[in-house]
Amino acid sequence: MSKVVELSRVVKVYGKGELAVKALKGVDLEVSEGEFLCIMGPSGSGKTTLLNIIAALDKPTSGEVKVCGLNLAKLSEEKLARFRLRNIGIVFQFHNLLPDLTALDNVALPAIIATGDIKESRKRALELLEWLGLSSGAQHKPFQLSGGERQRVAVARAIVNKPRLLLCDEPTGSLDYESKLRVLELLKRINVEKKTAVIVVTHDELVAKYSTRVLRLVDGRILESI
Amino acid sequence: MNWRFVWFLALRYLVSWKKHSAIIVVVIAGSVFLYALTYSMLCGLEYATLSRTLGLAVPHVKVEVSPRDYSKLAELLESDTRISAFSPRLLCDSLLVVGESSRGVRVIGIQYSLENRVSKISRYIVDGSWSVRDDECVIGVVLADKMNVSVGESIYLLLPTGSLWKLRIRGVFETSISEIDSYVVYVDLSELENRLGGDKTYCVALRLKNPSEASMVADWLKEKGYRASSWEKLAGNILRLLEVERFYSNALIGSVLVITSLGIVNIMLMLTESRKKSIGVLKAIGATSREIFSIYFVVSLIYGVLGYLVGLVGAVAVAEALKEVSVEFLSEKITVPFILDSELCFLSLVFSIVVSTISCAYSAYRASTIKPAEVMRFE
Repeated sequence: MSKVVELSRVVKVYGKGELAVKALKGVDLEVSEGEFLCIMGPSGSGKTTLLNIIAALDKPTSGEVKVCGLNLAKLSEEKLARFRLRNIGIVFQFHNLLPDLTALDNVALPAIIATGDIKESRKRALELLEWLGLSSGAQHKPFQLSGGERQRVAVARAIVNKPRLLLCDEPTGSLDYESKLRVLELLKRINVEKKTAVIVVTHDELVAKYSTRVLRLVDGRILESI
Repeated sequence: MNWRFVWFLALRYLVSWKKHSAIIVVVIAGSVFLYALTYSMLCGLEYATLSRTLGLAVPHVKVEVSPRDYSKLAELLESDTRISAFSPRLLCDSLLVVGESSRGVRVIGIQYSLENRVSKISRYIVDGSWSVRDDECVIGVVLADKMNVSVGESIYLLLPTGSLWKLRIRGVFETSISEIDSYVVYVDLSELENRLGGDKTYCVALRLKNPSEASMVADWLKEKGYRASSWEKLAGNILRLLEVERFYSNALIGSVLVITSLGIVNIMLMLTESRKKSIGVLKAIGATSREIFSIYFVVSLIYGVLGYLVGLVGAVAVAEALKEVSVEFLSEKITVPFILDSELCFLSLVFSIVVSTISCAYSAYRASTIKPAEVMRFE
């Protein structure tokens, strides 16, 4: 299977001099197509930093990052944005839906950026919301949806452009048990049915049950494979 | 760059930010309203002042010529299509005497049939008639009041030659220009010429089809060897005064622009700050910095155009309702019309777009430079 993510000796340092904080201390990681990877670790272990670097939202201080076979260091900010748009879906802990748009428009947005076809994008977004059982809330603004529904809309937004890689940062962190299960089942469904590689960073042990591989990140280093 | 996405989100934002959008549009509309109305009044003031002055105190072009050369000049003037009419005048300063009262006056000798085509004085006759002949005169209402005379009564003019000329008042005019109403006496040109004797100089007043060609016509006449002056030169003081008026109006409009812009900058920065995370998300899902900047820029353009339309409609409505206002200018009360022409409408559009884009450019720039990883880090 081809590699979707290849990290080699990735180091990330925040700040300079005496105030410098090493968030990642030489991380090596490979993720294959169709894999469901769970990266666990306590708060401050560097999970979100690792995810941001894979998502091309942040640059490593040193080391090499290849996503979908492309070395991200060589791309400009604009090209990185377009690369993310077409290859990576991101789900944040607090859904981060745009409060000014309806659920339907939130889901359609990445497709509109990619194609410019508003009608077709909204059609595709509606199909996706139906697939997720959320069509009744399509015209609702985020504040009109429950926490679980918002997170599922956020997942729909992340996969509307059919990305090869889905990155989730604590996707169940702010949800109750019922909602957690629904979101995790959804992520598994996307992983299996759409063959999308999924990386979830979390400290929720429940996520591990849905994963094909679990890694533990402690103090900026990957310690063990479970 | 994906412009459809930019417009899609800009329009969604406009609808979603109803309250803030309404405030910004009202602020821009208010400044456009003030700008358009102030400028239309200023244009009206210029128009009213110049149209009153031109043809009354000042002709479009004045040419000085001796009576011997007048017929040659008349031939030249008749051949030029830019000139619609001309009238010879003979000027002298005299003393007007009524009983024991006397007053210094400017006597203007005219051929009333020709003067009628050049001067607007006949429109301002309030008593009697304008057609002066032989030993008749037409005087201003202020002069008539001060000398306590009226139409049909006699006055005496003590000419520079020392001779006394008895005249009957044929008409009284009221132009509301105090210099004219209290100082000018119109008499018959040939009578005055006979009484003054000698080779006096005619001041030929020209009326042009297009007053803005006055300088060109004056230059052309100078090339032909005549002493000619255009109204721009003759009414130089009034033009300078209008320039000062324009300067202060521009300063006022500039202040309005700065205050309006500061208000909008505040609102837009507040909106940008409150949507920081949304902007971070947009960038995280694939929008570029240029697209983020364009979204805010398009929003500001729409504010500008909406503000312009609302402000202009308000200004047109007020201008149409009031039509004109009375103001005091050069210690005289004049009626100033509101002049809202297409040039002013275009300038108002430029004004509103400048206000909105300058005000929103900084917040748009701030939005475009937001780093998604940084705003996401602090949940």
